[in-house]
Amino acid sequence: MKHLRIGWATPWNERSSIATRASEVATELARRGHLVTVLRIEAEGARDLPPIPAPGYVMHIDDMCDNTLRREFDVIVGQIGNYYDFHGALIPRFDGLDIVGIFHDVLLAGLLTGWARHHGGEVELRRIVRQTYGAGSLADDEPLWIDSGSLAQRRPMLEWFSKRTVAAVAHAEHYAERLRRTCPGPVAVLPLSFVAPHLPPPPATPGVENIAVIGHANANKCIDKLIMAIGASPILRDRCRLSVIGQFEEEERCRLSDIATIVRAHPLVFTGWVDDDKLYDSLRNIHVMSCLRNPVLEGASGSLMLALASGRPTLVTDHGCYAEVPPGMVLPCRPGHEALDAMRYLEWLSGARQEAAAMAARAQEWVIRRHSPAAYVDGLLPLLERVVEERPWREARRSIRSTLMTFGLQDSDPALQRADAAFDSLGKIRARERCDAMGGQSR
Amino acid sequence: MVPFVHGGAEELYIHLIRNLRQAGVDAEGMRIPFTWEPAERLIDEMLIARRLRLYNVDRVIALKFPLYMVPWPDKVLWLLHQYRQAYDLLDVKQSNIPDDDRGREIISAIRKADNTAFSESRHIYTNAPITAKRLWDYNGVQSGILRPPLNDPELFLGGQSSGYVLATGRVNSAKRQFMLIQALRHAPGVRLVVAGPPDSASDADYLRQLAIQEGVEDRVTFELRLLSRQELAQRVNEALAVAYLPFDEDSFGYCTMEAFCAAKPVLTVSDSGGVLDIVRDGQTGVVVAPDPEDLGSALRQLAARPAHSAALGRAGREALESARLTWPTTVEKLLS
Repeated sequence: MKHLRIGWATPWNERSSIATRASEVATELARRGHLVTVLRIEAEGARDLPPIPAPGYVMHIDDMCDNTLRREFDVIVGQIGNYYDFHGALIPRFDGLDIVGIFHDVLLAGLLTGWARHHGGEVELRRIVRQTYGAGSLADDEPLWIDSGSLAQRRPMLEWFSKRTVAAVAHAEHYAERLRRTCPGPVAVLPLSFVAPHLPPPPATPGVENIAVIGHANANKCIDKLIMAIGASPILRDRCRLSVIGQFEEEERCRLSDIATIVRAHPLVFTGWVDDDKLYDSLRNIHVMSCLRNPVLEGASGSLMLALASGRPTLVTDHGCYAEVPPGMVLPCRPGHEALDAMRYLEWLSGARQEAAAMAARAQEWVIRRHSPAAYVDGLLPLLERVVEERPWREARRSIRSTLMTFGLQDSDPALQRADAAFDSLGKIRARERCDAMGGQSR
Repeated sequence: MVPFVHGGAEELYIHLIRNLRQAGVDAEGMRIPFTWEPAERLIDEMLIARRLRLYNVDRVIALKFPLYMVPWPDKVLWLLHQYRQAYDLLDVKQSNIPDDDRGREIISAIRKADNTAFSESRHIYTNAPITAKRLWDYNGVQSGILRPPLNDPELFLGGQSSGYVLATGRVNSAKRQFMLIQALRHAPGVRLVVAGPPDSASDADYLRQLAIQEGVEDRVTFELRLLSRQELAQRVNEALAVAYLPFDEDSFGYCTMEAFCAAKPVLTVSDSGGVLDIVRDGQTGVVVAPDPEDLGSALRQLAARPAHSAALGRAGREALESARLTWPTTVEKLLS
């Protein structure tokens, strides 16, 4: 296999958990002899965040024009997440480059909104929404921003991005089909890469259950439901203490603290953003992890990986990527019934420490094996090789399309569709040839 | 230029290459297939032209739509005509492009691609004032006028009239040879020779049927084929006059120049376009309304007054000579 020159377009700072995951994969790719150059894609103030260590050169993607990038790299891989400041510089490059998109989030409306701030504002955003999801997806008098669950369901903007990639990676099956429907190239589902750090084991303190929620204290993390679960149970009310380890907004802190007071639960601990060392240190006193999410906005969850790798029983909402953990490894709560189910599980835990520990150990072994960067790269490389192999075909297609567009024709014009159909049929012939060469086995 | 299509533009193309070579230029002609039906196909044709890649060339001289879109940094246009169905013929409802939303998109695409091609050109010449005017009116592009010279003037030396009126050029409904046949009914005794390649078999059949229908078949001679240049010159040199009735022709027309070169008067009609730039009624020829009766009257006069007709022809030759249309000067301009 040829060693690839890979442009690894990604945030590259310690505040981005996507950067951490991307770093693990980049290191594994480099270990296998591929030349990985980090192309930072942070926008605005995040551009100045210090870089994390890299297995190759690091530069900002804005420092290279499309032609140079095309020339310098066999393939460009872009990490796509829903935070403009960390991913914003990638957006203008979709039109000129063939980018393999690694979709970390299902909901990408935030990313697009950040971009639209400088490119036509809400008017342009509304136009894009309608163009992507049809005129009925956003009425004239409807606000653009609705609750994140409805947003994720009705207009997550995932499709707007996936249409612009040449191949896509999903980190779980629950959104892979959406990518398959819209991405013009192959789609692979690869379990999120996760290198388990040396995490402290769960404490052996009887009579207490310290529960941790990790990550930004958003409403979709169901922290309020967890508080109500604790407050509603006379067994749990005194035993359980809840820590929120991650960024929070003051308004949300007040809201959650008020709920805790009302239901007579112990006051919550808010740590604010912490680096990895502090995070791991914070886990020393934690018995149970909560990965409740409703709605699910992410493709796969780094917090879930961390929770499972920590060897602690973990509460999840039973949908999205959280439902893809095999049975018997997590404590699955029904969507919409998180409070009730969490209460029952937490009560069960207090009397079933050994069973809970065995469950956590199974999950720990599973996550470390399944989510290793090596396993990730094993799945990623065939995809990248295919993208590289099909590059001449894609470039010819792009070139023909760009010529037609100099005539003022729109993307939906019959002439462009004719050209696309011609190239699609060539692609199918290529796929058949590839299949024949492999003895009739499809990849 | 298009393979297997032969008309004035193709003649020009052949002689341009010949004269460039005579001027010491290593010149190659470039023809590509082209069709305008269905109209949707026009976009594909433009795409083909636009995607062509040249190399080992110093200068491109481009003549016709869509090949003038070929990208090249040193390109000179000698514009014979644009795709007129997207411009002036559209305005007079003689376009093959449908009058609907899609048609408007196609027209817009043609105009945008044209404008790109024009903006890339070092210099633009047009073959006639009317072409230049259209280019200015529709595209806002200035051009110089460079009329095509006659390709082989040495063949058209003139001579004694054999008394017939000759209709030359491609045979089709736009060139209106049918009107001359209808006119014969009003010009007893006048003989007509129609000599030229029909665009289709039906064009030829129609004329033959019409002659029978009008009862003039014994006075019409049809030579409906591509005549050799020598054959054609002989027909012109022995004619009493040449009749040429195109609808809204851009340029003088080769038929006109060949006639004047041979000192033969030209009979034409008042809506023949660029032909009227050199054919003046009563000076170098006869100009009448596009009507069989008027044409019949003109034919009668030409036949009845051969000396006067010859004088008109000589004046036509002088008019052509004063236009100083020669290949060496034309080539010099195209290469400058």
